[in-house]
Amino acid sequence: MSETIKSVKEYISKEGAKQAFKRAENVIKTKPECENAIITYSNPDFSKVTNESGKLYGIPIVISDNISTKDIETTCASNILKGYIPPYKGDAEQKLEAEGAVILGKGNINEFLIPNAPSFIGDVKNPYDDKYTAGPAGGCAVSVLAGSVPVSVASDAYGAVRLSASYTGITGFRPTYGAISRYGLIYNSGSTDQVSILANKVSDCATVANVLGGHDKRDTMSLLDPLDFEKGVSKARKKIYDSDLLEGIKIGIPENFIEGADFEIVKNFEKAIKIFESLGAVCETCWFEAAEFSNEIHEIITAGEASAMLAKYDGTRFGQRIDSDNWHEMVAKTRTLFGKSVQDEIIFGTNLLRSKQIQKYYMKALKLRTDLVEEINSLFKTYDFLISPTTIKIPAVSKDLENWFLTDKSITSINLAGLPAISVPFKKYNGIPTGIQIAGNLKKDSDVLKTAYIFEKKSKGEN
Amino acid sequence: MFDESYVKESAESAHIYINEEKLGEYTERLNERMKRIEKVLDIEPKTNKTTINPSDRSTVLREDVKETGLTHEEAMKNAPDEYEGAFRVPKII
Repeated sequence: MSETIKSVKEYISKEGAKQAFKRAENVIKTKPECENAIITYSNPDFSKVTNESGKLYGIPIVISDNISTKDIETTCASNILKGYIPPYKGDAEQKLEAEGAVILGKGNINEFLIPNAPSFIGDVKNPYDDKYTAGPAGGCAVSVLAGSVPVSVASDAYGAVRLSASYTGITGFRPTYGAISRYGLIYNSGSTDQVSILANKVSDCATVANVLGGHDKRDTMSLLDPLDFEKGVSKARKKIYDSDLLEGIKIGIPENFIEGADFEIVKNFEKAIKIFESLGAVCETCWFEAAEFSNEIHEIITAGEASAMLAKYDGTRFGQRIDSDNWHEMVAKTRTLFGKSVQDEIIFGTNLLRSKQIQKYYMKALKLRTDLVEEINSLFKTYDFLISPTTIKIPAVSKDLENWFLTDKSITSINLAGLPAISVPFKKYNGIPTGIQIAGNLKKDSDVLKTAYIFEKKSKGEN
Repeated sequence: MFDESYVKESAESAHIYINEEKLGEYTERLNERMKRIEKVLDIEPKTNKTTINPSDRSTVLREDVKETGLTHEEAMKNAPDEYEGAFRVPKII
């Protein structure tokens, strides 16, 4: 059911992979809205792009700068990793290239994807209003929006993929935790991060997810059984696969996912609910008690993990070095190569893991996370999906990014529970696109994608 | 509320150098974030069970099978400096 990829492939078969690549590169290098979208361009060897029968033959793809790519500089948009050129391919690059895709370059992101940490090359402006950012995975989103590439691969820590998709009016899909290997992903919040996909269409997300999915023994969290993102029909929802309707589907709308949303966002969301209902779904509001503190536990857990994961950038093991008279001073000065917000994140996380605080905050957050996972499991006994606006607010103002923080319970709850979720573009607010999030239970990725596909079709023209 | 000496200690634990003049700013920002998460202090978890990650995998061990990794040449290819086939790194101490 892949749509954009199909049309790009048809173009490539006539013009050839090299011409298609040059066209894609030209788009991104000349369109003003793509400024800062790519941190490093690749220089592919087309003699190695030979799999003409591959699902993605000749398709140019952008990979976010926190996913390792062989011989292409990978910096996580941070000064501390400037100059790091991985000697190996991450799993995403391996699988994409095996299907004939060509890596165009490394998409700009927030530094280590941290929500309020600007990229060291500057942020990517929102093409709809350059006062705002295009989101934490902005370079990957804008590359798709500008028509340079049909698909980008990025990771969804802090909801980066879904937020960026929502802000730029494209589609962002986060699979079940472990459904796509994270080998080669340089993550800083290991328990919430997941390789994900940005594309023009839901169907393109499904096609690329099928390429990237499957068990990988190099990722300890990788699911043992592969998911089929395009065809996996769960019997209970067979109807939605046999038709383009959602009859018999029960959708929950957690009221607290919408709390604090701007009036226009709520109004748009109500229109989306009407579309789901017109497709035959039963939509009802529900209360998700644990989501009341999901932002706080997400903030505690991600900061704690980040402080530990980023400890290795010390001038000795990884990253650049600032020389000094003694080892301690060298490490401390080297780590000032992190941007201000990343330094804050590390100090905040270190403080939460100190013996004086750990029980009070971090350990408690891990217990509250269990409550959240159990409650969400019970919600999925009643509902097939949970829907909400992807985000309740407009993007960060570029010049004020350092003061921005994540306030979406719909994002933080899903990340803590590792669930599959997709943001589908739907309408605008103050001229900036907004999205509708559809989340499903663990491993129900194909159900989420199919439902999103049906919604996308029905809501065509509403954007 | 944390004072500047506490923040200095945390920064030292995190191996991050803070200029004394900026210590006040760091302290202010840390206290703002602590205020943002203070809500969790009022909640009692229903369980003592912790969730470290959302995976349902019960084992993370793979079979102990010998595999081919990077060749020596591949491993050295992008190294900034090398000496007699080994990585040459700046002096640490």
